[in-house]
Amino acid sequence: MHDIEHAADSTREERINDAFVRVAGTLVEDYDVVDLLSTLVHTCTQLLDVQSGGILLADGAGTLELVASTSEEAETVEIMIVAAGAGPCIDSFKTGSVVSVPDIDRDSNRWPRFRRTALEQGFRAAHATPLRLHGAVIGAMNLLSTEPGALSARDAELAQALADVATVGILHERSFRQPEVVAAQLHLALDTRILVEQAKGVLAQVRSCTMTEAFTALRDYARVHDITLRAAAEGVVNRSISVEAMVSQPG
Amino acid sequence: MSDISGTPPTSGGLASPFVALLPITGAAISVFDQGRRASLIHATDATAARLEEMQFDLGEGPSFDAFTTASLVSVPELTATEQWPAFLRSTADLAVGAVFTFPLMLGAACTGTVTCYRSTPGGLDEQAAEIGASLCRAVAGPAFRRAILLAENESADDEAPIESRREIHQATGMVLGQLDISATDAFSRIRAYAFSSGYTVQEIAHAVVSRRLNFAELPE
Repeated sequence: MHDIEHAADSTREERINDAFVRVAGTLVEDYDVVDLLSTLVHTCTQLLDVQSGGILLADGAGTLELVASTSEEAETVEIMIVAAGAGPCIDSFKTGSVVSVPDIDRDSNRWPRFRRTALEQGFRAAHATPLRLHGAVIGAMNLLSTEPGALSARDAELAQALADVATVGILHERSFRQPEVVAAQLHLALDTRILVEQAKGVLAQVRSCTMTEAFTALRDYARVHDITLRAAAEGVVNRSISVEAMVSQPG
Repeated sequence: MSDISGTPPTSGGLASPFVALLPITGAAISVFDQGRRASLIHATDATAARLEEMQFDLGEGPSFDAFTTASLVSVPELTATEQWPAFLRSTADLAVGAVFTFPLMLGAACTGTVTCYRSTPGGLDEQAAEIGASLCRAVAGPAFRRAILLAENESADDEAPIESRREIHQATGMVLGQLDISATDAFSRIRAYAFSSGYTVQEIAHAVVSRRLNFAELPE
């Protein structure tokens, strides 16, 4: 028993290390924020054994926009966005603290629409962690579990550490002291997400594929050609990248 | 907190951060409606508002060029330019030395413009131009919600349901592919169709994304 737990722990530690190393790597090379956050939120759900996750950033009017999620499927996107409208995410963003909902079914009065949508999709618990920078809050990370129960203190700490890593990934450490540079990187991330959605639409139309397949194709193309996800999306939308060449790749 | 996220203070409007961070006197933000007419959503002063509205009335000026080229149009010395003769005649009585117009981009689609003016002549340096472009990205989301409302002829206080925003961007890409047009034109077509058919932009976008509506198959 102990051996098995030990083995599981060391795998977990390796994966945590891996997540941090990946983000550290992005600080010195050209990278794409949306791509990084997608990977990071995926790692986070695996490490914490939850089923769904999303990272949301605030736009110029303080509205949260979904920048990355564990799946591009409409259902996942919907629950993340509902949580950002009136749900744990927006509360976490506004208060700058963790909002934990150990049992969505029993939490009676708050956010009726979020609770209904979450339960319909089979989720029983939610955990929203703020993305913080020098006392300011720039967004939130939302995690959803199909099992009721709060995260352990250790897991909640890890979620906050990964949220902090996401903040570093978004903003580059060297820009922290220049508010206008911080804002510029935040807004570029939001705009990249819009471009990616437009490019997904082009691919879905021209290649008759699903939005999820379109996202995968876009991401694979960016990696194979060593360009950012933003550059790939831009190329698709302005038609300088051949859409035909793109989706035929396996993946 | 407002300095980090670029969120305008509640006492100001969407255009206020431009005046706070750029070497300019005033700024005005407009979004295009479904007929490509611009609609002023906020100006920091009366001169900025007049500059912007005058261009809509005359049908010429830097805003139109910024929209067409999807890039910053800089006029460091307004009286020295030979473009836009009607616009220049109309601005003669205004205390305007320089004009800088940024396109308001939503991904690849242009949804409006931000016109900045300075009372004295002089250019914008590269850093100021970058800050301006970043501020445009910050206000593009709120301006987009406003543009959707304009298409639907609803009260400006209502917010578009956020869960359908992604579908609007996806539908823009799909219509772009269906008609082989620019993202700006595709976005404009979706809004125009919503307006003329009596559906909301979200409903039209949803029909496009679920492949129940193809703009290539619509009668002209």
